[in-house]
Amino acid sequence: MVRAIGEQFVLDNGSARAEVGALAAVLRELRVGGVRLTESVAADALPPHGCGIVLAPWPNRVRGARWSLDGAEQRLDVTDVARGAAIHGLLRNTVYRERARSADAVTLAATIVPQRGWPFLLDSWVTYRVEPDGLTVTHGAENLGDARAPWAVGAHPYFRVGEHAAEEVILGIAAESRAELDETLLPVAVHDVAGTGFDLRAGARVADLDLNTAFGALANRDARADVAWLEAPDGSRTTLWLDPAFRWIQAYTPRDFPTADGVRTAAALEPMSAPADALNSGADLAWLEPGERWEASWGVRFEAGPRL
Amino acid sequence: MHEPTGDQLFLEAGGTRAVVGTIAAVLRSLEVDGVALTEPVPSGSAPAFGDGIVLAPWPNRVRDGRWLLDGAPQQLDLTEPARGNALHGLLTTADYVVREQGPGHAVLGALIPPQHGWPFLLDSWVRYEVVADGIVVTHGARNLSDRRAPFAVGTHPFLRVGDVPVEELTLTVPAASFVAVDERLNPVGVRPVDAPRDLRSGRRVGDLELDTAFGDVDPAPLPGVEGGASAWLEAPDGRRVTLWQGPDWRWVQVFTTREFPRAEGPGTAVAVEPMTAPPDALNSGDGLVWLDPAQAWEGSWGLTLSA
Repeated sequence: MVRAIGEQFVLDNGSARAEVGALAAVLRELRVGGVRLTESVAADALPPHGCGIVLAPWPNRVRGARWSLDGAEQRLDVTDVARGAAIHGLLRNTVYRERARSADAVTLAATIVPQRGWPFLLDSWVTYRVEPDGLTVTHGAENLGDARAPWAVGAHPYFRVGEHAAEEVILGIAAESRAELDETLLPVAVHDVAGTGFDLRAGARVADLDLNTAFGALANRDARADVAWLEAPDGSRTTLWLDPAFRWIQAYTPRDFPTADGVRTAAALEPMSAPADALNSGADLAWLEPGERWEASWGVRFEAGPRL
Repeated sequence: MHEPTGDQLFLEAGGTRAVVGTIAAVLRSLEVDGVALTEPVPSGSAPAFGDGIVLAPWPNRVRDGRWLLDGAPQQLDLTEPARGNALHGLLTTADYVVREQGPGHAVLGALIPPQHGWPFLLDSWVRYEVVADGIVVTHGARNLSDRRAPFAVGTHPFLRVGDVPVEELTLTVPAASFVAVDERLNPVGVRPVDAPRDLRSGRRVGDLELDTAFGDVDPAPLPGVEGGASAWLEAPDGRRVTLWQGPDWRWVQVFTTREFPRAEGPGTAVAVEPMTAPPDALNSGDGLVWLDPAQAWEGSWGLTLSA
């Protein structure tokens, strides 16, 4: 039977189990020892609030769905119509192809073809590999065109600590700065978080947070490092780690996330290689020369708490 | 070499050759005995002005990208940002999967997943078959949702007759009405054809400036074809390229441009686009097929070259 999320892939190493769908290379669910580390995406519907999808060749919004390439205006499709922006790249409605498969890993690929506002040809891929205690996600791109091309990537997982409600858990982010957004949710300034309600380095209750916020200046950035975590009352932790190429985390805590049990609070922690509107600001945008490849990883792991 | 039009399929039957790319299931070229019936999409290029691409699950525009489904507003992505509309369906950058391929035919398929403004899951496909005098193209869709879903389809071929300058070709469209549009090219009504848009007796393409949907087509009978000839281009030497459309294809869009990119520089080109529904059909309902769960639809059009 064909499902809305396309062909489905189950990765299982006996300890961790991930389900992936071909549509937007969506991470449908991740469990370690049966404990859910992410929200679950139904097979027959649009992933709610972007849950689990890949955001490429840019995460978040491009202001006015316009940017400038060597002085020439580029107009992208408007995919956040309410705010007049182009959101979350070009692959949201793309059915990825399987490129490689094993019991514990799958690589899904999608060509990004020249189109309105995007005069580039890129190969892109994502590899999901389950680890004993979690998941490693590797994003890649190769410029197949004859001109240099911009590239950024993000992902949109909503994390959990098993069946603990989001309101019960503590969210920590090892970030020194955060972007201030205007009414269209686009960045206008970057501020130090010290002494503000955005300083989550020691953690804060998700119930007390209302975030749709990009965090930057993540700690320990010359090597793969843990940068964010969710901790349940029993001490169990879901920890997000990033390669240095992932320089930003978008934290999003909607109160209206649809689940099988009704509408709930959820916590997205979106690894991003570049901040919102990077096609305009140039911030942390990678420029790939013809034939050049880019690859970087993020991942998540689970540790059962001492009080479990 | 990576083509911007995706993987390449080469179809051949007798003296007829076609090249199809998997992106938007584009018909890149079509020749009969070395005579081009369409404007080719050059190697290394994306289709100019939508040349040869498939337009599904609707052709042309949805005003403001908004429509109503059982009273509930639906907001599509705006894929014509300059005019604020949703243009040419949801598959213009989709990489179709090759489902079947023989020497002279190929079937390409694309899933249309639920997305902004489109709460349906459809399977869709295109079958290209080259024949002695041209090509037969069959489009299909099946509703994989648990609710009924709308479907319409069109394609965007630019026609020519070999190397004859397009300005010198005579275009005939046996249509009695056209869709009047506003400055954003959205429909404001269906009118009887007036002088600039009366193509029933044939007009020189060099004298036309059109981006117009024609209706009430009275197709000319064509042997072996259900439906009939809905448009034809004739060269001064008498050679003719004919577009035929099956019975469900009651509309044809004609688009002329003076800026079609060619190796020798920009020039005149004419798209003659078979469509099952007129512009803004998601709002008017005109020509829309409503598919019940599991229901499928198929319809065909084609091009032929005659002396």
